[in-house]
Amino acid sequence: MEKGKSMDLAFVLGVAALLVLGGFLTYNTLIARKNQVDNAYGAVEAYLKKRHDLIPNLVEAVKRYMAHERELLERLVELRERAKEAEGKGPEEAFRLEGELSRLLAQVRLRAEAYPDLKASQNFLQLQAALTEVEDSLAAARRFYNQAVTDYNNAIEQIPGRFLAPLMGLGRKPVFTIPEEERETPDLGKLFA
Amino acid sequence: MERLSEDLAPLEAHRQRTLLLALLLFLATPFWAYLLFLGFQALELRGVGLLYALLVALPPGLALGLLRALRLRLKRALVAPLAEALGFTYRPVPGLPWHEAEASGLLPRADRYEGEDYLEGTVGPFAFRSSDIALYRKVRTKNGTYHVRLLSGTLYRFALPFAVPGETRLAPQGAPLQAGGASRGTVLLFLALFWGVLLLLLALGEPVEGSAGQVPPVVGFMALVSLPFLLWGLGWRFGGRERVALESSSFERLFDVYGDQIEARKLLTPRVQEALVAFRKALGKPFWAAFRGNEAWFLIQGRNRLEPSLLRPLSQETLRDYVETWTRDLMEAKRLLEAVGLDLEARKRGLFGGEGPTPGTL
Repeated sequence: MEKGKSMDLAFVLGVAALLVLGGFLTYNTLIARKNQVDNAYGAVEAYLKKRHDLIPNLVEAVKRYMAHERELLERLVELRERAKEAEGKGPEEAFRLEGELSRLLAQVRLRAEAYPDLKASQNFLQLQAALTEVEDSLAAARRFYNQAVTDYNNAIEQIPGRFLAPLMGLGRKPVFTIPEEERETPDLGKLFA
Repeated sequence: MERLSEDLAPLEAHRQRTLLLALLLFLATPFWAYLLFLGFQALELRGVGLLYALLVALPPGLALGLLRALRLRLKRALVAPLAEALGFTYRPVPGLPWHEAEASGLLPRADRYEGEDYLEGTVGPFAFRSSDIALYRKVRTKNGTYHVRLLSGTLYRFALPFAVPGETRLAPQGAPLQAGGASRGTVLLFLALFWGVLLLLLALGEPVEGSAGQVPPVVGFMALVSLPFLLWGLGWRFGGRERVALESSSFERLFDVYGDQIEARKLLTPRVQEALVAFRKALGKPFWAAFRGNEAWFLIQGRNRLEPSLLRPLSQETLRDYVETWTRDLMEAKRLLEAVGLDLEARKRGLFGGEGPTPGTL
């Protein structure tokens, strides 16, 4: 009888210990995922800031040559200001503005092709290279962010995180998306032809 | 190559003679054993089991020796001329020096290193050096010390005409970062078995004399010591490199990536991930890779290149097949590195703009 009671007690204690251990592991996992998202967003913000800092130099370098593109350059400057103001206000608005900024920069790059004097300018070429490098890093940072957010969203929506996440005040986060027209993969053969 | 073509006929004749002789020796072994048995009986020899075994082993031992000599001769006669014809430099021994192999970062600590079949040359714009390697670890037992093989395979070092961002390492999915080590799966399986047996003993065992409960202190100590390994197996890091999770599910099924989160993604775009999956499928074997500065390293486990078959008749067609087989890895690696270079160049020119997420990650 005594042995039976002590076995029952051992069983209950064992189950309780497993639940507590499971709770610790789940809590730590959710915290780690959340911190990873913050880390990834920090990386994105760092490259966005670098890009913001390059834009005034770019506008200064091209406006002398691209006199007829004044409207485009003014939109670029205005959008840059709005994007800077949106920093720290949450990712949705920041992502939307940064997406528009990317499209405008691509337009500037495209229109610059029509100005041979501009294309020969060393200053412009260096800025172009710097912007490309930042865009490349930004693309990688966005992918990192999206992966971190996906892992985080999975952790808070799957069991057992689903039970603990509301208690910890953790909610779903948005990912970076690109507009439909940018999803088309370019034909590499044509680009290098 | 011309000299090789002239030597083919006598080499083929020698191959056939040696194989026939080896076969006869193997077939003769049971008869030889029986004759020896009769002889020992006639001489009334007792207690000479070891001598009997040694004498019985003579014919098959001789056959194996002949086959080994044939293998070395074929290798000497075929590999060097074929490599020369392809514009490569070949030497049977030594392989890549240890300090160079170790610089890849793909190899674990070892007590003995062997390298052979050193091959050097250029494929397309990529210069390479390579070697078949084997690593051993010393094991001490009460019967003596011997070496256990940790891994064997082929190690390639490519010089790239472009620079890759940061340092990124790839390992087969579930495998350790360095080839030849214990994988998480193996450690977790071992721990699961250990804990399963421990719990069974607790549930069914009798109290142990001299200890407070049913668990002997040494078992409790082992259980405690196993906890860090359990945590490591579950993914907690004790320093070392960070794992990078990528978007492509087919890529993630085949590889684990380690490195900086941003730099690794700058190298491993969806296009490069596809190229790596294709490379893995073409190789047919798991491999480890490291990309660093202007270098790329590949370690293909279980690969033993440049081994002519003893059973295959020697002819011009055979030589062509050997060339194709022995250079297949190089051609596939060239294809992969060209894809990496093209992708880096295209992004440097700003041709792809922002990558954005791969559809399906939302």
